Amino acid sequence: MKLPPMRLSDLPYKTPATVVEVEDAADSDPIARRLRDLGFVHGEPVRVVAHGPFRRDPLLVQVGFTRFALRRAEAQRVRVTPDAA
Amino acid sequence: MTAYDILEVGVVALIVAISLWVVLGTWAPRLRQRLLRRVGLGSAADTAAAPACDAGCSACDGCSSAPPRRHPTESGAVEHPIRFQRAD
Amino acid sequence: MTAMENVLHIALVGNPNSGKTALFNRLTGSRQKVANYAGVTVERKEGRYTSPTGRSVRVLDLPGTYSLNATSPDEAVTRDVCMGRFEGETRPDLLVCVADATNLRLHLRFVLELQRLGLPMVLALNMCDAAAKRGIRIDVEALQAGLGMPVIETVAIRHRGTSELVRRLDGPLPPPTAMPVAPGADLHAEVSRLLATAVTVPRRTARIDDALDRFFLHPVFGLAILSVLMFFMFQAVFAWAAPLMDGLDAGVSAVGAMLANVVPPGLLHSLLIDGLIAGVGSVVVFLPQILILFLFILFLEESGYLPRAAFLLDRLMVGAGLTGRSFIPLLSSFACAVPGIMAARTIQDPRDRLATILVAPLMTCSARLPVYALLIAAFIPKQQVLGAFNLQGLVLFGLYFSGIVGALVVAWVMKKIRKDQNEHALLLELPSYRMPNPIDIAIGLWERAMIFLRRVGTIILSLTVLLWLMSSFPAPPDGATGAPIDYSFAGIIGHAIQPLFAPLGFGWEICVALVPGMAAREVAVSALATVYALSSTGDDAAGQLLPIIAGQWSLPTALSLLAWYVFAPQCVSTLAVIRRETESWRTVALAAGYLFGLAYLASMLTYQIARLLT
Repeated sequence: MKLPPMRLSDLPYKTPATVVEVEDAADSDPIARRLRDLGFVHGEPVRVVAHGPFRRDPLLVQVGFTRFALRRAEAQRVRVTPDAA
Repeated sequence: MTAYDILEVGVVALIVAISLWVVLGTWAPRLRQRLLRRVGLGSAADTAAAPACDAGCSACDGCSSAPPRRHPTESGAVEHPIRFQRAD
Repeated sequence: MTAMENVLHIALVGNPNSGKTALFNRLTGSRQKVANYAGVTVERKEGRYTSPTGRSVRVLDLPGTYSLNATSPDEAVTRDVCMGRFEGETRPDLLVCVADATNLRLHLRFVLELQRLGLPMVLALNMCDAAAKRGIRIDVEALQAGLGMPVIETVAIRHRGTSELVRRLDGPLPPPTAMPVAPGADLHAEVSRLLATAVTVPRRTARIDDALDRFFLHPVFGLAILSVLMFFMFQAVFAWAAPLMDGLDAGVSAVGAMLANVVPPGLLHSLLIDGLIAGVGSVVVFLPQILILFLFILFLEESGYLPRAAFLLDRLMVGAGLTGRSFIPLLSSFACAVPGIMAARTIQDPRDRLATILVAPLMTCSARLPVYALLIAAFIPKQQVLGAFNLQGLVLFGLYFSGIVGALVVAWVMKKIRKDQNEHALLLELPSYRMPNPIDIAIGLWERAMIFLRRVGTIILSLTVLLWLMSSFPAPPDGATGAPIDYSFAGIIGHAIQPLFAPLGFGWEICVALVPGMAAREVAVSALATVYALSSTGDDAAGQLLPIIAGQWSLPTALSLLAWYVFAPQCVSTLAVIRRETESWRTVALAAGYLFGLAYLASMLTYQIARLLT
């Protein structure tokens, strides 16, 4: 079963997902480029492992062997598909 | 005036002079170096010996007036401070 | 062949927190600051060592970066040095890529990117011990073949952990790889291919990290743990330090009494007793408190907890117009604002960086601790609150907290003024937890103690001597009544500026102490001690500042001086480093102006309100 893509910022807590792509918020978006450098690339498994205490921001995202803290605005650039359970 | 009085004034004057020297080195190291050179004592090595400011500490008196050359190279290269800019 | 050509230039490059500086320290025997978070090193550092065959090697430690697409000033340094564009720096002969063996998925990508530069390279697989412990198996031969460069396992924190690297660097330079990944090709795909052939990983994360993060990053427990930790820290500063301080105090008094017996009354007697023993002695006794504070700071830095705290508080900092990236520079400012302001180089956005630099002096640096501790000990009763907390520790916590709140408010105002709608990136890596090594902590504390004592022995001592001179001369005219200090330069200056500070409740003695306190905050304590020692007629005043101010000052005056010290830019070094980092006198004037304004306002309000209430 293939689930529809969604934004990383909307991905429920601890749901395994796979990166589809990182979208540029503007032309030559440095944040999007940095996200790709950090390993947010097609086919990479990701998971939200924690939320900040205030307004559930920032998100702690596990990608590769690393955990990155991303704000919601940054996580919105990443499109993911949740893995079928 | 007894011999002790003279000794006393001498010791106090010496202590005050050393203190003045240390404070000068903190607030105006370049001035102090110029003074040294005037007397024919200083060398370029004195600048390099300024304490580094990156030790995560309060030992930062060395930065007060003149930015110390943090990486003295033999070529005498100029250290350019980092500017505010967003790189591409 | 000249000696210059004989020197091998190598540069340590790699992702943040991969252990480049630990490797640098191991190779060159230097002691640069290392800690467990990204962005400790913000500028290039140079060191040298001589290889076993006598070859001279110049090692450059570069700030960590994820990519050659630099987004902040510290990353630009690394990019420019690697590309040979850094003014005054020769292009390295060889790049030593440092990669964390537990995080190859991320770190190898940058290695491949660097390969495209066409320089000879070796890969140092650092933290191999940690990787082995987690069951990560790395086939070095296969990785070497896949990358086309020598791969050497290192453990930078272990004594012999770099001997293999040193041996390899002694041999002929490896040729630049013949087949870098083509431009445009996907480096991530290449990394995945390499990992599949050379690395087996039982589990993508360390079990212990997952478990700890469940607590430390929990929305409720996480904040509770953070608050308790901070609270405990300030309680400990007072509670644990007391016996040690009493001991030091007794020692200082004993030395003073001994000197007073040996040296006959006169000029030298006055300098030694009223100047050195009273002044410098009053600062030295705060060594235990400073060390306890640093014990906590070092522990937090080494353990990897700091970025977690940044994660928890990020949302609050955004609300105030700061970024989570500001957290670490601001936290470093608790030790001293100078390295804190320099650490702001890791912040990408220039305006965020400026905001961080401007509020960093509001963080309570360790030089304020003696001033706070003195006033708290003199005016705040040693009583228990709610059974568990001592009131003195609570007040100290409150002072630190006021600085933080002040910083948030100032940042918020700045955000409103510039009507900032820009997006602020966080993108902060949370490292694995690490158990701090007790020996490293002990060495760190020893260094702090030496730094403090050196500071006491040089600048503080010298300023105290000069202040003594200013307070003793000119001598009072014959037949003068009152204390001799009233007729001295310091006395005249103090009385002259006192009206300006009268609304804050400062006496002329405090005004005298504030001036040399500009050079080093602690000097305010030694200056007060000297001024009071000279003002008193008896000999017993030496070294006993605490009872004097407790007897002579009113509570509103003490509180007002505390408020002054929370905000006032009483530190020339900080202003100098702001000048250097921003290259703008305007920024310095802005910082100094707003801090003085704030200090004056806060002190005046504190004094007037406290006077109404008492």
